[in-house]
Amino acid sequence: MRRVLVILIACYTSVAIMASDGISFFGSLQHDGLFAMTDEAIGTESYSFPYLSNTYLNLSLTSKWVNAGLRLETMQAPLPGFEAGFKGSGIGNLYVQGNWGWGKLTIGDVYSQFGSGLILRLYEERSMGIDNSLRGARLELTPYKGIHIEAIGGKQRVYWNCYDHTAWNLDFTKGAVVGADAEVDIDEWSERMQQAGVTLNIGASWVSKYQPQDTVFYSLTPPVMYNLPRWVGSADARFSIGYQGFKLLAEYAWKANDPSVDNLFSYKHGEALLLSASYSRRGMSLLLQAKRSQNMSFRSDRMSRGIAAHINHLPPFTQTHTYHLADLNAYATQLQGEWAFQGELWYTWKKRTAMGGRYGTTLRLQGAHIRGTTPQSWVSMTKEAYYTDVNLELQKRIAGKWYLNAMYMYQTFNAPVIEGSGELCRSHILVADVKYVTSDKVEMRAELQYLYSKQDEGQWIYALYELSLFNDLMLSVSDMYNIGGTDLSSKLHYYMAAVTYQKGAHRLMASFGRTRAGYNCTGGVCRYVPAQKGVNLSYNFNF
Amino acid sequence: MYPQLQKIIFAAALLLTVTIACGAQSIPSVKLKNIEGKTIDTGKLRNNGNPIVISFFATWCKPCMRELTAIDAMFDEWEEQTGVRFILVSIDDAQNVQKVRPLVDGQGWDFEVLLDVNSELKRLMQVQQIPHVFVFDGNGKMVYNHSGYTDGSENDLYQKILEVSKKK
Repeated sequence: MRRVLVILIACYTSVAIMASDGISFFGSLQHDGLFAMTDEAIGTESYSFPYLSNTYLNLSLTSKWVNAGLRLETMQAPLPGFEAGFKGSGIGNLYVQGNWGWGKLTIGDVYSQFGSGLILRLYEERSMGIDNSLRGARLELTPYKGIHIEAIGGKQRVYWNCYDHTAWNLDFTKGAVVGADAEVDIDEWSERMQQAGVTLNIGASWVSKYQPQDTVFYSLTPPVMYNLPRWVGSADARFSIGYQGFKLLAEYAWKANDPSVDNLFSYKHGEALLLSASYSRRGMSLLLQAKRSQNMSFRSDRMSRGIAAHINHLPPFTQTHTYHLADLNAYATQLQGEWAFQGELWYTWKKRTAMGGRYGTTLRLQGAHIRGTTPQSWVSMTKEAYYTDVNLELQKRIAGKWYLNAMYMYQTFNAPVIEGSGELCRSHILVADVKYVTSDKVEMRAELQYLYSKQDEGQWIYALYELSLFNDLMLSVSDMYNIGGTDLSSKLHYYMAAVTYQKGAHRLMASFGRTRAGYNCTGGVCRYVPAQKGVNLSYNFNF
Repeated sequence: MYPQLQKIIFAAALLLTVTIACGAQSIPSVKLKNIEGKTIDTGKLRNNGNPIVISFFATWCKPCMRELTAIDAMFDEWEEQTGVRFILVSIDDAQNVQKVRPLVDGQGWDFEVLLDVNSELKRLMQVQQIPHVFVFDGNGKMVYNHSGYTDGSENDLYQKILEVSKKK
């Protein structure tokens, strides 16, 4: 213990000395908890502990030459919806990074993304329970202006495997992921291109994963095992060009045969194509995108399910809706294969114009359409659509103190394909979101949402009232009620009352109510959350 | 894990927590592209001795949109009175990042926007929830940070910017 104290004092002294020389520290503490209550009407699960919680303490040091970071996590009784593997406590992330101008070397738990993430995206999204970092090293080099080269390798974090096998999960014979990426910004070599506002970028990546053989039987009589590939490689190439407000991106990714539980041990290769075109100028923009993906689930563990062990990132190619009823049927990427299209048009009429009125008006038209792929040809699609939504949103300051957001959405949701059961649902959704500013210290906001459908549970209604006081305190009450459907057991109120207090870097929230079972989507990832009732507590502090 | 090492790291974490409370913080150095495709070093962001605001957001974050819409309505006045430089940092991943410029232009916003597709700046500055705003004074030292959005909290943000501005 004496040695520990000596080490700590030495570290503290050096840090204190360096603190006067451009070193910065940042930290955050986050605690989310639930006093869970049983509610048979909504189908809550039962838990062994009365209080479920996830807590994180993050620390980072930044300076001219060295950065370092540490994250401590404790989830002895994780929140509902987090997979069983999350239970535990310890160091979730630890790294040291050296910078020398034209290069950076990170040792420890590393994150990265190649291109659009079609073959590699390593990141943390704690509300989803995602942390797929690699424990190893990451080297980034900029040997010449416009040229970026990266190499990365390590063992992927899957739940608490940081403590498996050896003290530091560095047994690469159990599995490893390696990759390299190169990108060139050609416009940085040409002053003429820069003056003309032209950007031109090309990139290429390679990622390979290693996993020892698993015993998986192709047949039991006679017993025949799959000959599973130990190394599975993938590659990506991309090109983008921009000229003032125009931007075009094309990216193609390919993956070698990768039999796994996700694709029922198919030996077909995977591929993805992403195309994006946009034009924008102040007050107006148009975005059109298309994506074809097939068999692109890429995990470091072929036997994993759920949200663990993903190496790449294929978010749903749809808008992430934030209004409750618009998000009731959230789409999830169909990894076996899909064609997805989405588009978005924004237009803002300036203030003091005929359409803009006194304060201006903004309109957004957005749509998404997704079908499956078929074996007939590379371009063929299923006759049935998996998902469609078209929505029109209006943002307007109506009068001095009144603000309005209104939305209409038409949605089709193919539940048999996306969820495995149910029927094709067609819904019309209306939202009115009104804010009234009474003074600098008091504002109130109300939402009213209505969903009409002849399928599934029929009609829903949602109402919310929020009162903000003194810029720091917010009180809210809401209720979501199923007014349609023939099953009386589905006619339930999902009520919630919440208090949020923010002061500087502190944020405390307490709420009581019911949450319906469904998908919670954040940042393009959706996680199934079971029905819940109880008191939620959440505290955040940044320092 | 080795118990002794675990004790050291836990104790060091505690000590660092105390140290952090005392230390000054400036914008870490990360090379990010802006929405025009130009690479910017965040460690070299300056504003001629005037305040800088860094605001983390994402295209899918509704409270972020409400906060930025509220700030946009008053930004001309803020800039005139304080000389503040307001920089948005998008944490959208590389597939969603194609939506950032269309959203910013479509809304008619005049903010500078950086694209943190790999969440490097977000991790270094310990941003966990968005929206998250930081205010740096004319010497580049952090004087205020605030996560989440309550209607009207942009008024508190402006008061902090005024406090540190040399143009009062």
